[in-house]
Amino acid sequence: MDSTAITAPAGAPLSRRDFTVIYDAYADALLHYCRCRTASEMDAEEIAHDCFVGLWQARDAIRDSRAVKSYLYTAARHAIVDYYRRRAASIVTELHCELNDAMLTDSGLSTPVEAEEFRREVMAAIAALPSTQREAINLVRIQGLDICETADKLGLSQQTIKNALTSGCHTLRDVLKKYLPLLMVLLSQNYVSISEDTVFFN
Amino acid sequence: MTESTGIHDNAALADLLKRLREGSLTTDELTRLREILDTAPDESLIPAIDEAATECASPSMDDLERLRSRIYSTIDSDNDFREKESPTEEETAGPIQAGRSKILHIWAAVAAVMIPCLLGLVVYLWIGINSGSGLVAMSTKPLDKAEISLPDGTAVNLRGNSRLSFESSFGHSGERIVNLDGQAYFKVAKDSVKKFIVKSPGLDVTVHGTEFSIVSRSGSTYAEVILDSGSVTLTSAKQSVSLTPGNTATIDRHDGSITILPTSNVLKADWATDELSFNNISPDSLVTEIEKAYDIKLSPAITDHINQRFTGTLPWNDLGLTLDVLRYVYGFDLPYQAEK
Repeated sequence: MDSTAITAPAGAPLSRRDFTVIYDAYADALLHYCRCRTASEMDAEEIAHDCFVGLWQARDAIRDSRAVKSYLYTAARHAIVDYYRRRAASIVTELHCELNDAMLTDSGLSTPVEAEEFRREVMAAIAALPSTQREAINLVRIQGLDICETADKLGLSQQTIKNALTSGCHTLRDVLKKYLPLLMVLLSQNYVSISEDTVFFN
Repeated sequence: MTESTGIHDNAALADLLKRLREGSLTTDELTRLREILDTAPDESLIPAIDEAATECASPSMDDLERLRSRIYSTIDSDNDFREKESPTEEETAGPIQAGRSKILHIWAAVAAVMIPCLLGLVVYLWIGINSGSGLVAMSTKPLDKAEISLPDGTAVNLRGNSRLSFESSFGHSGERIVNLDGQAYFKVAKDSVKKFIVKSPGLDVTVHGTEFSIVSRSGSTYAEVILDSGSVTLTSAKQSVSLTPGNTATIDRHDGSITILPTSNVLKADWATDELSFNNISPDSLVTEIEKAYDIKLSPAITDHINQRFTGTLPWNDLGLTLDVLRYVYGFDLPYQAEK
C-alpha cells in the first residue's frame, strides 16, 4: 500500500478515511490468507472482520501507517490459531470423531460424512435442546468458556451447568443415530455386523 | 511428537489440522491434537497452519463489499458510543470542572444503559437533563440486540438491525417521543400525564403505560404491533384505532389500513430467549411466519417437506439455524435419506 495515501500526519491516529484506504489495500489479500488457512469462507470472513475492527479500535495507538500491515497479519495469525483451538475443543468435532471411530471399528471405512454437513446437523440439534442445556453447551463446548464463567454468565450454579452439559451431550449423541442407515449400508457392503455398544447407542 | 514441551513435528501437525477440517480424525487423534494446541505457544503452531493451508479462490468483489459493510456496521456502532462518550471540542471549551460536575450529576440521574448482548460489549450513554436539543440515537447490527433504559424508566429491548432515537430533551414536554425503525419490545413506565409515543415508518403508537412489541421497518410493506398489557392507540395515514391486550395489529404501510386479529398461538416472540415459540401451528402458517420473520420467500424444495403441524421454538435471528432445525425436525434434504 502507498503509505502516502494515508492523510493522517505522522504521529496522529488513523482517520476514517485512512481506514478506508487501508481496507481497500489489504482486505482482498487478508481475506484470501484467512480462507486458505481455514478452508472456510464463512469462518475466514469472521476472522478478517475481527482483524479490521480490532485495527479500528486500536487506531489511537497505531501512529505509524507502516505498522498497519504487520498489525493485521499478526492479528489474523493469532485469530486462526484460536480458531483451531476452539474447533478442536468443540462438541461438534468430538461427536464427529466418535462417528469416525465407529466407522473404522465396525466397517474399516473412514467416514464419508463431510465436516460442514455434520456441523450443521449438530448445531440444529443443539438449537432444539432445552434452553439451559443449549446455553451451557454453546458457551462451554462451542465458545470455549469454562464451567465457572458459564455459571456466572447464566446465573446458575456450577453443578447445574455440569448437569446440563451431561444431559445435553447425551441428547446430542442421538444425532449420530441419524447416520445409522448410512453406516448400515456400508456395513452390509462389507459383511460386517454392527455391535450393540457402538457410540450410536451411548 | 513431544506435545508437553510445545515442540512438535510440523508436517504431522499440519496433517492433523487438515483432517480436523475434513472431519476425518479419530478420537485418539483429536486428543493428541488438543494436547498440542493447548500446550504449544501460538508462534510454534503458525508454521504448521501455514503448511496445512490449501488452495482457495480469491474473494470476489461481492465478498469484499459484504465484509466492508459488516466492518463499517460494527465500527459505526462503536463510533456512536465513542462520540457520545467523548465530549466534542465545543463542549470541552467550557470550564472543565463545571463540565465534570455536570456529567457526574447526569450520570447519577439519567444513565441509559445499552448492552449488545451477543458481542458482550457494554456501552454507557448519558444525556443531559438540562441540555438543549440534540438527538440521542442507538442502533444495533443485524443479529445483535440491546437492552436500553430510557430516562423515564421505560425499558426497551431493541432487536437486530434496528435504530431507536429520541431528543435529549426527552420527557421535558408533555409527551415522551421516541423514533423507531426496526423491531423493539417496550415496557413503558407509567405516567398519567405524559403520553409515550413511538413514531415509526407509517405508524405512530400512543400509550400511557403498557407492554408491547412493534416491528416497523422502513423497507417492509407491513408493520406489526403485539400488545401484552394495557392499551395503545395506533395511528396510520388512513385510520386511528385502539388495540387491546391479546390482539395483534398489522398495518399495511402502503394504504395505511390496520387489521386487528387475536394474538393466537401462531407466533409469540420470546424476548428473553431470542426464540419464536409456536404451538401446534399449521404447516402453511409456519411457512408464512418464518417468511415474515426473515422477510424471505421459502422455496418449494423446503415448503413441500413442511407437511405436519409444528410445536416448538425457532431462533428469531438465525435463518440458517432455523432452516437446519426444520430439516432436522421434518427430516428432509439429508444424504442418508436416499439410503433409507
